[in-house]
Amino acid sequence: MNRMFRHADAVLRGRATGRPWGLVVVCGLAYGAVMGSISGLDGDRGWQVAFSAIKVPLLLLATLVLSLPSYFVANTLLGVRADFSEALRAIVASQAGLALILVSLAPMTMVWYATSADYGSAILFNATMFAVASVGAQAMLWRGYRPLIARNPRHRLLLRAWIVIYAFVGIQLGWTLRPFIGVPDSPVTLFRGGPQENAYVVIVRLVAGVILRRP
Amino acid sequence: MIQSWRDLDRILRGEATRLPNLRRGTIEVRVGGLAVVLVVLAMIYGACMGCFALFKPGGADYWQVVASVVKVPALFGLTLAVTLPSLYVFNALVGSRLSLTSVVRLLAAGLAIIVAVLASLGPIVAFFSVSTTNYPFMVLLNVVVFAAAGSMGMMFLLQTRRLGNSWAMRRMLRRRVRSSRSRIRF
Repeated sequence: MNRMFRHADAVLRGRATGRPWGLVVVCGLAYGAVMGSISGLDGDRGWQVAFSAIKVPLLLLATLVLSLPSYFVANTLLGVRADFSEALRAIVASQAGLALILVSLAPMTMVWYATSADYGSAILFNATMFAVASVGAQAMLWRGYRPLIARNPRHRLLLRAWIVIYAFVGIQLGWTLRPFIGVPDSPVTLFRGGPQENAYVVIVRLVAGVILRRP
Repeated sequence: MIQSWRDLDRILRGEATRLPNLRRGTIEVRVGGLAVVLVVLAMIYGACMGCFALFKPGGADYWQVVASVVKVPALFGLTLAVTLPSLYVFNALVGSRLSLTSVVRLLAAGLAIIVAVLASLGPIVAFFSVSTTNYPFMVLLNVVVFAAAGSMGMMFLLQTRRLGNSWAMRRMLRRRVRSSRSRIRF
Protein backbone atom coordinates (compact mmCIF):
# COMPACT_ATOMS: atom_id res chain seq x y z
CA MET A 1 0.00 0.00 0.00
CA ASN A 2 2.85 2.29 0.96
CA ARG A 3 4.59 1.53 -2.35
CA MET A 4 1.34 2.29 -4.19
CA PHE A 5 1.18 5.73 -2.52
CA ARG A 6 4.78 6.36 -3.52
CA HIS A 7 3.99 5.49 -7.14
CA ALA A 8 0.91 7.71 -7.04
CA ASP A 9 2.94 10.57 -5.60
CA ALA A 10 5.59 10.13 -8.30
CA VAL A 11 2.94 10.24 -11.04
CA LEU A 12 1.31 13.37 -9.62
CA ARG A 13 4.66 15.17 -9.29
CA GLY A 14 5.67 14.27 -12.82
CA ARG A 15 8.43 11.83 -11.86
CA ALA A 16 8.91 8.60 -13.79
CA THR A 17 7.34 5.54 -12.21
CA GLY A 18 7.31 1.94 -13.29
CA ARG A 19 3.66 1.21 -12.43
CA PRO A 20 1.33 3.69 -14.14
CA TRP A 21 -0.76 0.85 -15.68
CA GLY A 22 -1.38 -0.63 -12.25
CA LEU A 23 -2.53 2.75 -10.96
CA VAL A 24 -4.97 3.12 -13.87
CA VAL A 25 -6.52 -0.28 -13.08
CA VAL A 26 -6.63 0.04 -9.27
CA CYS A 27 -7.86 3.65 -9.18
CA GLY A 28 -10.30 3.02 -12.05
CA LEU A 29 -11.75 0.04 -10.18
CA ALA A 30 -12.11 2.13 -7.02
CA TYR A 31 -13.87 5.08 -8.67
CA GLY A 32 -16.03 2.74 -10.77
CA ALA A 33 -17.20 0.93 -7.65
CA VAL A 34 -18.15 4.24 -6.04
CA MET A 35 -19.88 5.37 -9.23
CA GLY A 36 -22.06 2.26 -9.36
CA SER A 37 -23.03 2.40 -5.69
CA ILE A 38 -25.93 4.87 -6.09
CA SER A 39 -28.49 2.25 -4.98
CA GLY A 40 -26.30 0.65 -2.32
CA LEU A 41 -25.29 -3.02 -2.18
CA ASP A 42 -28.63 -4.70 -1.39
CA GLY A 43 -29.69 -7.70 -3.51
CA ASP A 44 -28.39 -7.68 -7.04
CA ARG A 45 -27.33 -4.03 -6.71
CA GLY A 46 -23.87 -5.32 -5.77
CA TRP A 47 -23.53 -6.42 -9.40
CA GLN A 48 -23.93 -2.84 -10.55
CA VAL A 49 -21.00 -1.88 -8.31
CA ALA A 50 -18.91 -4.72 -9.79
CA PHE A 51 -19.89 -3.86 -13.40
CA SER A 52 -19.12 -0.17 -12.95
CA ALA A 53 -15.83 -1.02 -11.22
CA ILE A 54 -14.72 -3.05 -14.23
CA LYS A 55 -16.02 -0.56 -16.78
CA VAL A 56 -14.04 2.52 -15.67
CA PRO A 57 -10.51 1.02 -16.12
CA LEU A 58 -11.81 -0.74 -19.24
CA LEU A 59 -12.95 2.62 -20.63
CA LEU A 60 -9.57 4.24 -19.96
CA LEU A 61 -7.41 1.38 -21.24
CA ALA A 62 -9.54 0.42 -24.26
CA THR A 63 -9.63 4.05 -25.44
CA LEU A 64 -5.85 4.14 -25.13
CA VAL A 65 -5.39 0.85 -27.02
CA LEU A 66 -7.80 1.86 -29.81
CA SER A 67 -6.16 5.25 -30.31
CA LEU A 68 -2.52 4.20 -30.10
CA PRO A 69 -1.99 2.59 -33.56
CA SER A 70 -2.96 5.77 -35.42
CA TYR A 71 -0.88 7.87 -33.02
CA PHE A 72 2.13 5.63 -33.60
CA VAL A 73 1.82 6.02 -37.38
CA ALA A 74 1.32 9.80 -37.03
CA ASN A 75 4.52 10.01 -34.92
CA THR A 76 6.40 8.00 -37.53
CA LEU A 77 5.10 10.13 -40.40
CA LEU A 78 6.12 13.36 -38.68
CA GLY A 79 9.61 11.96 -38.07
CA VAL A 80 9.50 11.76 -34.27
CA ARG A 81 9.30 7.97 -33.86
CA ALA A 82 12.49 7.99 -31.80
CA ASP A 83 10.61 9.92 -29.09
CA PHE A 84 7.58 7.61 -29.13
CA SER A 85 8.47 5.64 -25.98
CA GLU A 86 8.85 8.91 -24.06
CA ALA A 87 5.56 10.20 -25.50
CA LEU A 88 3.83 6.96 -24.52
CA ARG A 89 5.18 7.25 -20.99
CA ALA A 90 3.73 10.77 -20.73
CA ILE A 91 0.37 9.55 -22.06
CA VAL A 92 0.14 6.58 -19.69
CA ALA A 93 1.23 8.76 -16.78
CA SER A 94 -1.57 11.21 -17.62
CA GLN A 95 -4.03 8.27 -17.67
CA ALA A 96 -2.81 7.25 -14.25
CA GLY A 97 -3.19 10.89 -13.20
CA LEU A 98 -6.79 10.92 -14.47
CA ALA A 99 -7.59 7.78 -12.47
CA LEU A 100 -5.89 9.22 -9.37
CA ILE A 101 -7.86 12.47 -9.61
CA LEU A 102 -11.06 10.45 -9.97
CA VAL A 103 -10.22 8.47 -6.81
CA SER A 104 -9.49 11.67 -4.94
CA LEU A 105 -12.94 12.93 -5.98
CA ALA A 106 -14.67 9.66 -5.02
CA PRO A 107 -15.52 10.78 -1.46
CA MET A 108 -17.40 13.76 -2.92
CA THR A 109 -19.37 11.41 -5.19
CA MET A 110 -20.24 9.28 -2.15
CA VAL A 111 -21.47 12.34 -0.26
CA TRP A 112 -23.50 13.39 -3.29
CA TYR A 113 -25.13 9.94 -3.53
CA ALA A 114 -25.81 9.95 0.22
CA THR A 115 -27.50 13.35 0.13
CA SER A 116 -29.33 13.18 -3.20
CA ALA A 117 -30.91 10.06 -4.72
CA ASP A 118 -31.81 11.84 -7.95
CA TYR A 119 -30.47 9.89 -10.94
CA GLY A 120 -30.25 12.88 -13.29
CA SER A 121 -28.19 14.93 -10.85
CA ALA A 122 -25.94 11.87 -10.24
CA ILE A 123 -25.18 11.70 -13.97
CA LEU A 124 -24.42 15.42 -14.05
CA PHE A 125 -22.23 15.19 -10.95
CA ASN A 126 -20.21 12.26 -12.32
CA ALA A 127 -19.83 14.02 -15.68
CA THR A 128 -18.43 17.03 -13.78
CA MET A 129 -15.99 14.76 -11.88
CA PHE A 130 -14.80 13.24 -15.16
CA ALA A 131 -14.47 16.71 -16.68
CA VAL A 132 -12.36 17.89 -13.71
CA ALA A 133 -10.19 14.76 -13.92
CA SER A 134 -9.77 15.21 -17.68
CA VAL A 135 -8.62 18.82 -17.25
CA GLY A 136 -6.09 17.71 -14.60
CA ALA A 137 -4.88 14.83 -16.80
CA GLN A 138 -4.47 17.19 -19.75
CA ALA A 139 -2.36 19.52 -17.63
CA MET A 140 -0.21 16.54 -16.66
CA LEU A 141 0.06 15.50 -20.30
CA TRP A 142 1.25 18.95 -21.38
CA ARG A 143 3.76 18.92 -18.51
CA GLY A 144 5.06 15.50 -19.59
CA TYR A 145 5.28 16.69 -23.19
CA ARG A 146 7.18 19.90 -22.38
CA PRO A 147 10.68 18.43 -22.95
CA LEU A 148 9.50 16.73 -26.12
CA ILE A 149 8.02 19.97 -27.50
CA ALA A 150 11.23 21.82 -26.59
CA ARG A 151 13.15 19.22 -28.60
CA ASN A 152 10.81 19.25 -31.59
CA PRO A 153 7.78 21.58 -31.98
CA ARG A 154 5.99 18.90 -34.04
CA HIS A 155 5.12 17.21 -30.76
CA ARG A 156 2.74 20.09 -30.00
CA LEU A 157 0.71 19.30 -33.12
CA LEU A 158 0.82 15.58 -32.35
CA LEU A 159 -0.35 16.14 -28.79
CA ARG A 160 -3.32 18.19 -30.00
CA ALA A 161 -4.14 15.42 -32.49
CA TRP A 162 -3.88 12.84 -29.69
CA ILE A 163 -6.31 14.76 -27.49
CA VAL A 164 -8.82 14.97 -30.37
CA ILE A 165 -8.53 11.25 -31.25
CA TYR A 166 -8.66 10.18 -27.61
CA ALA A 167 -11.73 12.30 -26.87
CA PHE A 168 -13.45 11.14 -30.08
CA VAL A 169 -12.99 7.44 -29.21
CA GLY A 170 -13.46 7.90 -25.45
CA ILE A 171 -16.86 9.61 -25.78
CA GLN A 172 -18.25 6.83 -27.97
CA LEU A 173 -16.74 4.09 -25.78
CA GLY A 174 -18.19 5.70 -22.67
CA TRP A 175 -21.56 5.83 -24.40
CA THR A 176 -21.29 2.16 -25.49
CA LEU A 177 -20.32 0.90 -22.03
CA ARG A 178 -23.35 2.50 -20.34
CA PRO A 179 -24.75 2.20 -17.67
CA PHE A 180 -21.96 3.33 -15.35
CA ILE A 181 -24.31 4.49 -12.61
CA GLY A 182 -27.45 2.40 -13.18
CA VAL A 183 -31.01 3.71 -12.96
CA PRO A 184 -32.02 3.08 -9.29
CA ASP A 185 -35.42 1.39 -9.90
CA SER A 186 -34.48 -0.61 -13.03
CA PRO A 187 -32.97 -4.12 -13.06
CA VAL A 188 -29.16 -4.31 -13.13
CA THR A 189 -27.73 -4.83 -16.63
CA LEU A 190 -24.18 -5.03 -17.96
CA PHE A 191 -25.05 -3.00 -21.07
CA ARG A 192 -28.09 -1.01 -22.16
CA GLY A 193 -30.45 -3.08 -24.32
CA GLY A 194 -31.83 -2.07 -27.71
CA PRO A 195 -29.96 -1.02 -30.82
CA GLN A 196 -26.47 0.41 -30.32
CA GLU A 197 -26.74 4.15 -30.70
CA ASN A 198 -23.97 6.53 -31.56
CA ALA A 199 -23.05 9.24 -29.05
CA TYR A 200 -22.49 11.89 -31.71
CA VAL A 201 -25.75 11.13 -33.52
CA VAL A 202 -27.59 11.42 -30.19
CA ILE A 203 -25.93 14.79 -29.51
CA VAL A 204 -26.81 16.08 -33.01
CA ARG A 205 -30.39 14.85 -32.56
CA LEU A 206 -30.66 16.56 -29.16
CA VAL A 207 -29.28 19.86 -30.49
CA ALA A 208 -31.51 19.66 -33.58
CA GLY A 209 -34.52 18.94 -31.34
CA VAL A 210 -33.79 21.99 -29.20
CA ILE A 211 -33.28 24.25 -32.25
CA LEU A 212 -36.37 23.01 -34.09
CA ARG A 213 -38.62 23.35 -31.06
CA ARG A 214 -37.35 26.86 -30.24
CA PRO A 215 -36.59 28.55 -33.53
CA MET B 1 8.51 -10.62 -46.07
CA ILE B 2 10.08 -8.99 -43.01
CA GLN B 3 12.17 -6.92 -45.42
CA SER B 4 8.96 -5.58 -47.02
CA TRP B 5 7.64 -4.47 -43.62
CA ARG B 6 11.00 -2.78 -43.05
CA ASP B 7 10.59 -1.04 -46.43
CA LEU B 8 7.19 0.22 -45.28
CA ASP B 9 8.75 1.45 -42.05
CA ARG B 10 11.51 3.25 -44.01
CA ILE B 11 8.88 4.94 -46.19
CA LEU B 12 6.87 6.04 -43.14
CA ARG B 13 9.98 7.40 -41.45
CA GLY B 14 10.90 9.25 -44.66
CA GLU B 15 14.21 7.38 -44.96
CA ALA B 16 13.38 5.93 -48.38
CA THR B 17 12.88 9.42 -49.84
CA ARG B 18 15.97 11.13 -48.43
CA LEU B 19 17.90 13.37 -50.78
CA PRO B 20 20.74 10.92 -51.63
CA ASN B 21 18.15 8.42 -52.87
CA LEU B 22 16.28 11.05 -54.87
CA ARG B 23 19.57 12.24 -56.31
CA ARG B 24 19.91 8.81 -57.86
CA GLY B 25 16.45 9.42 -59.35
CA THR B 26 14.77 6.57 -57.50
CA ILE B 27 13.31 5.30 -54.24
CA GLU B 28 14.92 2.15 -52.96
CA VAL B 29 12.00 -0.11 -52.16
CA ARG B 30 11.10 -3.57 -53.45
CA VAL B 31 7.73 -3.00 -55.07
CA GLY B 32 6.76 -6.70 -55.20
CA GLY B 33 7.12 -7.32 -51.47
CA LEU B 34 5.71 -3.91 -50.60
CA ALA B 35 2.61 -4.63 -52.72
CA VAL B 36 1.88 -7.73 -50.62
CA VAL B 37 2.18 -5.69 -47.40
CA LEU B 38 -0.09 -3.00 -48.82
CA VAL B 39 -2.72 -5.56 -49.84
CA VAL B 40 -2.64 -7.06 -46.32
CA LEU B 41 -3.03 -3.63 -44.70
CA ALA B 42 -5.85 -2.67 -47.08
CA MET B 43 -7.58 -5.98 -46.30
CA ILE B 44 -7.30 -5.23 -42.57
CA TYR B 45 -8.97 -1.85 -43.09
CA GLY B 46 -11.62 -3.52 -45.30
CA ALA B 47 -12.36 -5.96 -42.47
CA CYS B 48 -12.65 -3.09 -39.97
CA MET B 49 -14.97 -1.24 -42.37
CA GLY B 50 -17.07 -4.34 -43.01
CA CYS B 51 -17.60 -4.99 -39.27
CA PHE B 52 -20.60 -2.68 -39.52
CA ALA B 53 -22.50 -5.40 -41.43
CA LEU B 54 -22.00 -7.89 -38.60
CA PHE B 55 -24.11 -5.99 -36.11
CA LYS B 56 -26.90 -4.55 -38.22
CA PRO B 57 -30.49 -5.03 -37.02
CA GLY B 58 -31.49 -7.57 -39.74
CA GLY B 59 -28.76 -10.03 -38.67
CA ALA B 60 -25.09 -10.45 -39.47
CA ASP B 61 -24.07 -10.25 -43.11
CA TYR B 62 -20.72 -12.03 -43.38
CA TRP B 63 -20.51 -11.62 -47.15
CA GLN B 64 -20.37 -7.85 -46.74
CA VAL B 65 -17.22 -8.27 -44.62
CA VAL B 66 -15.69 -10.50 -47.31
CA ALA B 67 -16.71 -7.98 -49.98
CA SER B 68 -15.11 -5.09 -48.05
CA VAL B 69 -11.93 -7.11 -47.48
CA VAL B 70 -11.68 -7.69 -51.22
CA LYS B 71 -12.86 -4.24 -52.33
CA VAL B 72 -10.50 -1.96 -50.38
CA PRO B 73 -7.29 -3.43 -51.88
CA ALA B 74 -9.06 -3.61 -55.27
CA LEU B 75 -9.95 0.09 -55.01
CA PHE B 76 -6.31 1.09 -54.60
CA GLY B 77 -4.90 -1.47 -57.05
CA LEU B 78 -7.36 -0.64 -59.81
CA THR B 79 -6.96 3.13 -59.29
CA LEU B 80 -3.22 2.69 -59.67
CA ALA B 81 -3.65 0.52 -62.76
CA VAL B 82 -6.02 3.03 -64.37
CA THR B 83 -3.98 6.17 -63.66
CA LEU B 84 -0.39 4.94 -63.95
CA PRO B 85 -0.11 4.85 -67.78
CA SER B 86 -1.33 8.43 -68.26
CA LEU B 87 0.76 9.66 -65.32
CA TYR B 88 3.90 8.14 -66.81
CA VAL B 89 3.18 9.49 -70.30
CA PHE B 90 2.54 13.04 -69.06
CA ASN B 91 5.56 12.86 -66.77
CA ALA B 92 7.74 11.91 -69.71
CA LEU B 93 6.11 14.63 -71.86
CA VAL B 94 6.95 17.41 -69.38
CA GLY B 95 10.53 16.17 -69.15
CA SER B 96 10.58 14.42 -65.79
CA ARG B 97 13.72 12.42 -65.03
CA LEU B 98 11.72 9.59 -63.49
CA SER B 99 11.66 6.26 -65.31
CA LEU B 100 8.54 4.08 -65.33
CA THR B 101 10.00 1.94 -62.51
CA SER B 102 10.70 5.05 -60.46
CA VAL B 103 7.16 6.34 -61.01
CA VAL B 104 5.78 2.97 -59.86
CA ARG B 105 8.02 3.04 -56.78
CA LEU B 106 7.06 6.61 -55.95
CA LEU B 107 3.34 5.83 -56.26
CA ALA B 108 3.78 2.62 -54.25
CA ALA B 109 5.45 4.69 -51.52
CA GLY B 110 2.58 7.22 -51.60
CA LEU B 111 0.09 4.37 -51.46
CA ALA B 112 2.01 2.85 -48.55
CA ILE B 113 1.46 6.04 -46.56
CA ILE B 114 -2.28 6.06 -47.36
CA VAL B 115 -2.82 2.38 -46.55
CA ALA B 116 -0.69 2.50 -43.38
CA VAL B 117 -2.68 5.49 -42.08
CA LEU B 118 -5.94 3.71 -42.99
CA ALA B 119 -4.89 0.51 -41.21
CA SER B 120 -3.76 2.45 -38.16
CA LEU B 121 -7.20 4.08 -37.95
CA GLY B 122 -8.79 0.65 -38.53
CA PRO B 123 -9.28 -0.20 -34.82
CA ILE B 124 -11.18 3.08 -34.29
CA VAL B 125 -13.39 2.44 -37.35
CA ALA B 126 -13.99 -1.18 -36.24
CA PHE B 127 -14.98 0.02 -32.77
CA PHE B 128 -17.43 2.58 -34.18
CA SER B 129 -18.73 -0.06 -36.63
CA VAL B 130 -19.71 -2.41 -33.83
CA SER B 131 -20.98 0.26 -31.48
CA THR B 132 -23.33 2.18 -33.76
CA THR B 133 -26.29 1.32 -35.98
CA ASN B 134 -26.36 4.70 -37.69
CA TYR B 135 -25.42 4.16 -41.33
CA PRO B 136 -24.93 7.85 -42.36
CA PHE B 137 -22.53 8.32 -39.42
CA MET B 138 -20.43 5.36 -40.54
CA VAL B 139 -20.35 6.65 -44.12
CA LEU B 140 -19.22 10.07 -42.84
CA LEU B 141 -16.59 8.53 -40.54
CA ASN B 142 -15.16 6.44 -43.38
CA VAL B 143 -15.10 9.47 -45.68
CA VAL B 144 -13.19 11.45 -43.00
CA VAL B 145 -10.74 8.55 -42.45
CA PHE B 146 -10.13 8.13 -46.20
CA ALA B 147 -9.73 11.90 -46.58
CA ALA B 148 -7.18 12.00 -43.72
CA ALA B 149 -5.22 9.08 -45.19
CA GLY B 150 -5.44 10.54 -48.71
CA SER B 151 -4.18 13.95 -47.55
CA MET B 152 -1.22 12.30 -45.81
CA GLY B 153 -0.35 10.42 -49.01
CA MET B 154 -0.74 13.60 -51.06
CA MET B 155 1.49 15.55 -48.66
CA PHE B 156 4.12 12.84 -48.93
CA LEU B 157 4.06 12.94 -52.74
CA LEU B 158 4.21 16.76 -52.82
CA GLN B 159 7.05 16.81 -50.29
CA THR B 160 9.03 14.22 -52.24
CA ARG B 161 8.46 16.17 -55.46
CA ARG B 162 9.59 19.40 -53.78
CA LEU B 163 12.72 17.69 -52.48
CA GLY B 164 13.42 16.29 -55.93
CA ASN B 165 12.82 19.71 -57.49
CA SER B 166 15.07 21.51 -55.01
CA TRP B 167 17.78 19.02 -55.84
CA ALA B 168 17.20 19.54 -59.57
CA MET B 169 17.24 23.31 -59.02
CA ARG B 170 20.53 23.13 -57.13
CA ARG B 171 22.04 20.94 -59.82
CA MET B 172 20.95 23.44 -62.50
CA LEU B 173 22.37 26.42 -60.54
CA ARG B 174 25.64 24.57 -59.95
CA ARG B 175 25.95 23.89 -63.67
CA ARG B 176 25.30 27.57 -64.48
CA VAL B 177 27.86 28.74 -61.92
CA ARG B 178 30.39 26.27 -63.29
CA SER B 179 29.81 27.38 -66.89
CA SER B 180 30.00 31.08 -65.97
CA ARG B 181 33.28 30.43 -64.10
CA SER B 182 34.74 28.64 -67.10
CA ARG B 183 33.64 31.55 -69.30
CA ILE B 184 35.39 34.06 -67.01
CA ARG B 185 38.56 31.97 -67.07
CA PHE B 186 38.36 31.73 -70.84
